[in-house]
Amino acid sequence: MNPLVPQVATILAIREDTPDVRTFTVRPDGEDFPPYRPGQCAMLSLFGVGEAMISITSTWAPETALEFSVKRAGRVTSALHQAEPGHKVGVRGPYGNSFPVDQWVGHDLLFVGGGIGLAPLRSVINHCLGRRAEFGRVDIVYGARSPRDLCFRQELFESWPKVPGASVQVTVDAADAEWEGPVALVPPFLEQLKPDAAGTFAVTCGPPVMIRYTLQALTRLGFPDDRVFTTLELKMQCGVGKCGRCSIGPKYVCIDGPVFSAAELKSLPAEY
Amino acid sequence: MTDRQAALRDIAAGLLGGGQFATFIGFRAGLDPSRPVPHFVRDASGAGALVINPFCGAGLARHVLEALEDGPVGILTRGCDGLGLERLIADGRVARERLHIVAVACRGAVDPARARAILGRIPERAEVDAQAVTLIAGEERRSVPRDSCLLSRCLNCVDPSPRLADSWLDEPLPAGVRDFKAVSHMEQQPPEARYAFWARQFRRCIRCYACRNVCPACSCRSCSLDDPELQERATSLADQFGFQFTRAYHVAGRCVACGECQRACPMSIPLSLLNEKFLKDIRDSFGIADPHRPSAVEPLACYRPDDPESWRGDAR
Amino acid sequence: MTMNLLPSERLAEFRECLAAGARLYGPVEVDGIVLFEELGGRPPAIRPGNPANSLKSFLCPQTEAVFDFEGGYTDVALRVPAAPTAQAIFGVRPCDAVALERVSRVLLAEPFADESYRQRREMTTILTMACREAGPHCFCRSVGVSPADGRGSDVVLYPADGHYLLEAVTARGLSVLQSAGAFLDPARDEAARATCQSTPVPLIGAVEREDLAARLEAVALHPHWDELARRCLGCGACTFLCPTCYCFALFDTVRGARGRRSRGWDSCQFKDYSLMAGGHDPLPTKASRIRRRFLHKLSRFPAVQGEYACVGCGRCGGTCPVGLHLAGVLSELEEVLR
Repeated sequence: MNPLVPQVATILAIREDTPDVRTFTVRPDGEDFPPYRPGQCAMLSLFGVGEAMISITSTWAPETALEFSVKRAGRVTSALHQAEPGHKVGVRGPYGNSFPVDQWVGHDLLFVGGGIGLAPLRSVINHCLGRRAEFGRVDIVYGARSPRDLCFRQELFESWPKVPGASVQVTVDAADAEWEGPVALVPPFLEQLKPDAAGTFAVTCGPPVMIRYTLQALTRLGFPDDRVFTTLELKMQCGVGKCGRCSIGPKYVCIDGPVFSAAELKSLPAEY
Repeated sequence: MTDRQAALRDIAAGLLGGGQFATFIGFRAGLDPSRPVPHFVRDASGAGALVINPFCGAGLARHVLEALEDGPVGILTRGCDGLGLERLIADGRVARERLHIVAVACRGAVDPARARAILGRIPERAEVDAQAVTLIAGEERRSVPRDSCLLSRCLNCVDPSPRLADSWLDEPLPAGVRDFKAVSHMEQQPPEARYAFWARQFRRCIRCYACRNVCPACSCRSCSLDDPELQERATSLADQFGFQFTRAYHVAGRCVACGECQRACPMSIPLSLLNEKFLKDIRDSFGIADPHRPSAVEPLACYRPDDPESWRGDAR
Repeated sequence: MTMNLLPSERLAEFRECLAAGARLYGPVEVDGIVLFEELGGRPPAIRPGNPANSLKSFLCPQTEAVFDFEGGYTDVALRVPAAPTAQAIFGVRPCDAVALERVSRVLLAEPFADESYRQRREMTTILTMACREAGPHCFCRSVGVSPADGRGSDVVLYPADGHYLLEAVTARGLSVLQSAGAFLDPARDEAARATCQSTPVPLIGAVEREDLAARLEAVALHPHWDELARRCLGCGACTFLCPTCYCFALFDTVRGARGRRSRGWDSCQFKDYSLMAGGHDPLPTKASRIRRRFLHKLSRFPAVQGEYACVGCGRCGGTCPVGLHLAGVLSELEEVLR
């Protein structure tokens, strides 16, 4: 079977999360999508437009549909935002490694997200909360450009804060008239919160510049590099380690990543 | 060392040492003596690496675009380079006053591949005059006709010296008149033969875009060929024709006939022939004797109210 | 391994025998340049060095359909192209065959083996002509490849005076020799192979292999890359002609209700190669892209695969419009390092 040929799938539902983020519920028309792990991605495509690698934001369970939260950025994602329920898309995957969740069992977890970077984190957060008893505290720090750019509001403000031993801190870069919460960029906000690094695993995802400063902040907060994880996004074409596009040194983000520890990242050239 | 080379190094060192110029563009020795490479001298002490010899084949004009981002540029300039610079200036891409043009007369550059094939080994030196090329390796000297071993882009050259200059390394040579012999020959072929010829040429295009990237007339800041919408590369012979014609039309009326596209083409597609066809048509349709030389009146770049055809093309 | 002698005058018959069950490709001279093309009865142009194009034209073509689709927004049917038919490529140089072996390491890597490449590779017979003379840009020995290398080949022909020594390297090669048995002489000529094994490769001195990857990584941020970038035109000639460059892009084309998703060669030297939709570009400068090309070939691919992603075929040396080729750049970096 040619790994570049997708399954034809149907968009079952579309939720408008922010002015430029929509969450698509998608199910293949034929065989079920293979089981996937938190942090993995899939190539989502529109026939006649092209493909984009999107992180799977749902958490796998038998016979459940896939969810992709897609920010409108380029050609493919803009076209996806024009799609309607019932439209056909192509989907292939799952691709990439995943968050080493089993390594985290028995530890506190800190998730730091920015903007649409919460999409891959949502999958692993829900996965960990589904195995609640296996972890210590679960602290979630999230920021977006403005209140209306906050993704996954239902989870951020309703379901996650209600989980015992979990906390959610939300900040925005710039407030609007109704916002009464903190106003700060994520990295300094995180440093103000002073999370306890002892025995904690930190996981971060967001825009490239936010990831860079968050990794620095985590280092200052005392997190060792092998306990900090991030998930990278680079331009991809094949998703299966052939086309060369997403290589960082000897690694391919699509098959060796997208999840890397800060220690692994430091061993790679700064080409991401 | 030749007088010209010594003078070049002195001028380059002077320009860079004066602090006003950021870069001097010329040539320096490559991995083998028959393949010097474009060189970008950044300070006066580096000027000693500059060389001039008949193996200096690459066009230099296009390189000023990026070099000017660092400050004013001095540049070794043959006739072809000079026309390329004129093109960039006429197109508003380069300001004349940010260039120091060091003019040199050129009798043609030796094609290193052809020279090696003739000599059976890599030539160390060459001498080019109006009649012949002499290839030299060790004790061996061999004189051969110009058209057997010059770059194809040099064979039809009628501009040995640049028209713009701030310094001269030697006396300018007189300009000539293009004869469009190859185009006339092609025009006499029946359409089927012309199609078969171009199909054979274009079929092997690999879409590397070297022709675009070396061209002094193809200098748009952003090119539609880089648009992801147009990434469909060579899916059919029709696509190849489409690309080649589009490229040729985009430079029609602005092509300076430097032939760099053809020199750069790794698949040896005779792109100059296509460009020359446009030039010949411009000459014949508009009565311009030397349409490859940028001028105040460029027929495909201007519109006159008394044009016999209206702007929209509907007959008057 | 099986060895046979083929008298020189029977080479044409041997080729005809190959063409019986497969499309036969080989180097031919077209408009003054030598290219791999379908031979169609033409005599092959076997010259020192390599044709302008590489074998990837036949194994990962410039563009090919991944699948065709038909339908509208709510109804789409996909159709995959027919499987490739048998092909044989005659007159391949050893470096090009080794390049296939290098590229296969990536494209055939599981669990996502590149199916169209795998099918083509399985349907392709490689008949290699070992070198008795190096081309002007050849530097195979510098990167661990020999003018008599058999890796990636099915049959290697070692030219000698009056005959060729034929060596079957694979089972497929053995069946070629069996089917051509009528032309072959079971005699042996070890000298023919030894001659090719000792063919001098003059450019070898340009590349110093000792600790090459480590020495290159040590100068990864040297300003000389900016100097190279000034010279580089940013075209894709080097990468498209390179037999070990395998980058590709996927793109859709539509005509009415029908369309096609294709794959086609792409080049890390193109300016928007790694530009992302949001504007982020991990390789934002020409210098970063040139560095990536050289380091990929000589440090990062070897780190994973244990071999260089360069076979010293010399194509970049013969074709780069500004002389920015692997052997030249390495010799420049050696100068910089000193």
